[in-house]
Amino acid sequence: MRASAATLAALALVAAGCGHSSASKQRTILIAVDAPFSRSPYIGNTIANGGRLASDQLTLRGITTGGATYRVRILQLDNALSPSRAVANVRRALREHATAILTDGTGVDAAWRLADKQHVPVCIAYQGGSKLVNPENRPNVFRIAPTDHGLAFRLAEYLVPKRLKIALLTDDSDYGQAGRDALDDAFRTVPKAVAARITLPASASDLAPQVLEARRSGATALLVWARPAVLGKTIAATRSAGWHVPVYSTPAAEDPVVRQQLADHPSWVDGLTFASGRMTAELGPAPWSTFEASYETAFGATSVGVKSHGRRVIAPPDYAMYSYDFVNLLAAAVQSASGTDPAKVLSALNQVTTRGANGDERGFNERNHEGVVDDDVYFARFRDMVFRPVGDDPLSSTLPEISQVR
Amino acid sequence: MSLAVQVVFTGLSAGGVYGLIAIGHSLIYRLTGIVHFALGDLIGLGAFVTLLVAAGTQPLTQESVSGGRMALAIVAGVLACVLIGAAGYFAVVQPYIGRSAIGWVAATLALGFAIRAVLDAAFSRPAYVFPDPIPFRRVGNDGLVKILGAQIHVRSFAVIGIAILVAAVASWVLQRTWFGRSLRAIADDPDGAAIVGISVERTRALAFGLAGGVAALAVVVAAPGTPFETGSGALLGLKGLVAAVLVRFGGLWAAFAAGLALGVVEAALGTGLLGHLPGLASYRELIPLLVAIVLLAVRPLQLREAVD
Amino acid sequence: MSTPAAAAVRTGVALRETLASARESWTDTATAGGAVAVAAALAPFVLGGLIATDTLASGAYLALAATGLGLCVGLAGVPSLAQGAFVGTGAFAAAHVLRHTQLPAELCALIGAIAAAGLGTAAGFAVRSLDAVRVAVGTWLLSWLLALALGALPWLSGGAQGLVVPTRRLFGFSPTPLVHYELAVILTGLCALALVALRRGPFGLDLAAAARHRGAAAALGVPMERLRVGAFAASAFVGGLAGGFAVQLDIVADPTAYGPLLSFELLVAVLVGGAAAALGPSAGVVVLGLIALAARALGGLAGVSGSRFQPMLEALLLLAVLTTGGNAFVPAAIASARRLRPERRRQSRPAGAPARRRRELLRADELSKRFGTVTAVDGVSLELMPRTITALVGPNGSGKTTVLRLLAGAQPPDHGRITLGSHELTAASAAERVQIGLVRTLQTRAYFGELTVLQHALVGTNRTRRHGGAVRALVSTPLYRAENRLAEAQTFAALETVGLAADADRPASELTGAGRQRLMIAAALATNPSVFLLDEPSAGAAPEDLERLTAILRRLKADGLAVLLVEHNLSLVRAVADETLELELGRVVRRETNGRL
Repeated sequence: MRASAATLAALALVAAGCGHSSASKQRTILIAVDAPFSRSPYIGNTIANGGRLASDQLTLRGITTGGATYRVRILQLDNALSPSRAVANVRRALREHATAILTDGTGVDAAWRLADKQHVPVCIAYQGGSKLVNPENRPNVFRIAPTDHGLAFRLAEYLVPKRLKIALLTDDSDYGQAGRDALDDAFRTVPKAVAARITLPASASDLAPQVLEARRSGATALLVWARPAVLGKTIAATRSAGWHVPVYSTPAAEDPVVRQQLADHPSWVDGLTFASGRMTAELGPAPWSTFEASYETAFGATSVGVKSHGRRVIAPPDYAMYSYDFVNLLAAAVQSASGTDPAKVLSALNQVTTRGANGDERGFNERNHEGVVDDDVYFARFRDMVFRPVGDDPLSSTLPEISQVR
Repeated sequence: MSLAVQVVFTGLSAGGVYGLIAIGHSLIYRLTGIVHFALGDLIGLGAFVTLLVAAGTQPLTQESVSGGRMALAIVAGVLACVLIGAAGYFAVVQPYIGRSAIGWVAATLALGFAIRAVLDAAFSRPAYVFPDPIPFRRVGNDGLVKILGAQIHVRSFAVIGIAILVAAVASWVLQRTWFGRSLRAIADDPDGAAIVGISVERTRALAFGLAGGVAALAVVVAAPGTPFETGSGALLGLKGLVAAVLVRFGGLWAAFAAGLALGVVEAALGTGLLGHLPGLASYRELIPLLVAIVLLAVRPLQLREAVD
Repeated sequence: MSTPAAAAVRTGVALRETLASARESWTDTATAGGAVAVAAALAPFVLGGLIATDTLASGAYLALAATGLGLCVGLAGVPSLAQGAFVGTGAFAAAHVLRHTQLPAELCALIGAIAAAGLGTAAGFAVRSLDAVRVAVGTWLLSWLLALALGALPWLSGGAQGLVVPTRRLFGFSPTPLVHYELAVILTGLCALALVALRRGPFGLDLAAAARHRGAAAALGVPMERLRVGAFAASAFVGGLAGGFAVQLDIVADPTAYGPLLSFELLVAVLVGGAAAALGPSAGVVVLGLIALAARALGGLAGVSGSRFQPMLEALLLLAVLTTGGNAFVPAAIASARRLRPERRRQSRPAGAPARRRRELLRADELSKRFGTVTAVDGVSLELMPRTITALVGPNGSGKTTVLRLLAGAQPPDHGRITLGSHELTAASAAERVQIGLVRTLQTRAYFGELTVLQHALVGTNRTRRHGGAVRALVSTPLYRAENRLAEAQTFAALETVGLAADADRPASELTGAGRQRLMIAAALATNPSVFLLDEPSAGAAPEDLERLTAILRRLKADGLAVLLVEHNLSLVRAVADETLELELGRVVRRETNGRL
């Protein structure tokens, strides 16, 4: 009796051991999201939510490759907009054997090399500075987000034929300074189109003096590359001075703060035109709508805080789409590399393509690490607190309107 | 010409707020010998309590909040400043006053950073918008008047007016009322004042609270002009401190005037009014700070000898 | 013997002496310190699983910067809020040098430290004579200035991405976090040792005196302004060194990391750990780390995604610690350890003949001083001769104390001239006058906190030392130690004159008021003066104290000093004075010799 009990026990142990060593091994694809969760939660949460939506869907489906099943896990690390924290976060991600690092862009200049030593890919999902991505020198740095270069050149392309005298207004933040460089590049060949270049002090409470300067320079249009709060102040200063000059801007215009600031003057927001990465694809709006619906189910709609014709206005999750797409790309790369071996995943990342959330094909190759091409930039104009693609740009005129009221 | 007028009015409007905060700093220093390093963060707290009562942590816009609720929110914000200012006195200043300067320095700093951290945790958006408590847009052209070619916000006049009013009231209270006299007595001779029957601790705490409330009032009036961040309070507190230092913590009116001057100089440096030197605008906040430090050093106090 | 061999022999003898004295002064505290150092060095291997090595290394550099701040706050008693700015200066200076030159990494960090020391010297000079509150405000503004400058000037800070720092081998080692950690521990240990050495030397005594009673220290000629500048420069150097190395660990010079928050954290570390102890700041940094861990745990318990609430929890915990007055864990620990094993007492009294200064004549001609509309002193002339006691008497408000203060250099006269022998004193500062041989005592029972009687008196000897500088104290050269012995001998002689030699090791706070008055006389005597000014030494004294005072004054006279006595007590004046001057309304109305009026 005792002998058989012992044998049974031994058999049970062996069976358990066999169970672990069978083909149903559970492994993890760890993606570290290094973003400013404490200082800019809006950006941090957008990137993380997009990543989480993708990771949840992938884990549900399960990724089976190379004899193992993988689930996808997101690790959130706060960098508080500090490059040294970003470096510490990357070190931690590498210690925990992350397969990839998703970041807003803070500290990439310093941290990419650490990741490169272990061949771990780093993907920027927000900042657009041109020096950040360089496939030759930084083989492990990728970006899925509109670039400053793309935005600036498209803006120049759009505005110059209108024969406007443009005043370039940039703020003194890093975002504004990077924009200033990109705009200088873009308008280099058409110096006559630029009426003035003015720096907006971000901490000033009233930008009337700077707007007055722009007016006196003879400008017939304003191109504002600044953080959302400063953009709002500029528009307020312009319109309250009675100057109804057309104002153009960057994706910062989509930020809810702009509309909140101008909530008691909805007419001031009308006509504000901005450049951004397009949300829908050539295939049509259906894939985007599906993505938007699942995002809202998971995380709720982001309320802007204003009303349009009595209905609540929401902000569509366009930047979340970028991190979502990267996670899917990474999963495809792991699939193609039959595992999470970093060097193999990195080289696979340069080859695979996936269908993005909005239906576009997303992919990188050895010479191009930008996931959003410059041509994908479109223009939208505000009316009644919601924005629609403009009609006087070839790409934008083909895009449908996306509902922003609930 | 119109640019100069614009700069001056923009500067005065910002300077009015700095001036009131400078008054707060100066008052507290002259009455207790304390420099309140957390005054700026306290003001930020008041502003965000107002926001909380008015709209929760959701986005706030003019049409979404009724006038009555806004008024209640403002009262709540100022009250919060007064109460936490007074409580702050008991918590961080009183254990160390008169004994260890380093003690209250560290403690007030800790209070400031703690307030900032709580605000950061509770309010996650990068900037918040305050509606006008007073319907300025009904005046003039949508809240603006034209003076000498420059468009001036009516709100600026209100800020300067309220600042002057508050300075005058504070000055009158210090000179004429019993409360003011007891405050000055405590400043001169705490032990003597205690003997005479003045409750030193409570009066000081009240002074702390009121100084905070005074500055909070100014910010609540001025905040609607611009998006407010969780760090704005600390920066305003710093500028108020700079203004107070520039007049060596002098009288109320001196501190107020210094704040106005600081606002105008900052605005002027930010526009290129004082010349188009490349990058001068970046230095607009640094130069006043540097001047304040130099001023602090260049006219040093003689080390006072022991009483003999 | 040929010269090189002689030099070698002398060096060998000196080394043996050093080792012997080191063994002699080895205390239990030193053993404890050594144990802590070993534990710290082994920490990464023990804690490696729990806390990442790069976090430990960052913390160790923080401890180094905090120990540097301990020099200012602990030793000099100055509330400096600019240490974060000094660390940042070192970091960015080192980063710029690393990027633009091929200099070795250690040298770049050193250059960073020197740049920070430059800024520290400027800051110290700016606040050299300000009171504590203004120092706090001034250094706080400096901290903000650097933070705002880094934010506003991209050429300085490299923009929001910061300045990326190339990695280079550190002292021949590959710059891994572990190497950085050990380097930081070694540097912190050296800095702590330096703190201990300085505290015991003249530099430390002077600073302690100045921190506890400025007036009395000034009267003894302590050069407070120079000391403050020195303290700032030294703490900035250490902070800059920490920054210069830490930036290489971080790989990037981060413009957001060196602002007022860092200055605040360093100050808190020094306070919580105890500013008085050498390893206190490091203990404070450990406490900060524990608070961070506690915040993370609390956040985990509450189920919130830590990162958003962690700063808030940390700040609140910090506030709680400070408001409950919890400052000084290390001193408390040291005090409890002391109760178990008392400090070893010194074995013998050093012998030595202190040199005497030449006795000279002090002459004051037509001194006048007005305060606003009040004329305090009006054309007073007097002569103080060696081996004479001159008394100044008169009713309150007659100007006697003002005359004394004019002679001592506490205030400049409006008119008149003061000479001591051939030295022109009229424009000399109080510190300079002490060096030339004129010293005063104060009217109040000023004393320097918990210093011992011997240490009090030693403060006086520092003025006459030539080899007592901070650097020599650090390295403990033979000349320094020889002078130490001489200074102690001089001090004991002074203590004997006032009758306090038996109480040499007692804390001054245990003395009576009259005892402290005698202590100040001893300290003044230890400056080896030729002219001695006393301001109402008998105030509040009991009859037996008066007897002792009389004896002391007679001994001073016998020693050849020229003594000026400002007094109310006419019986004392009658007993000792050789010449008496009566003042009224600022003028000399009567002059008597041999104490008879």
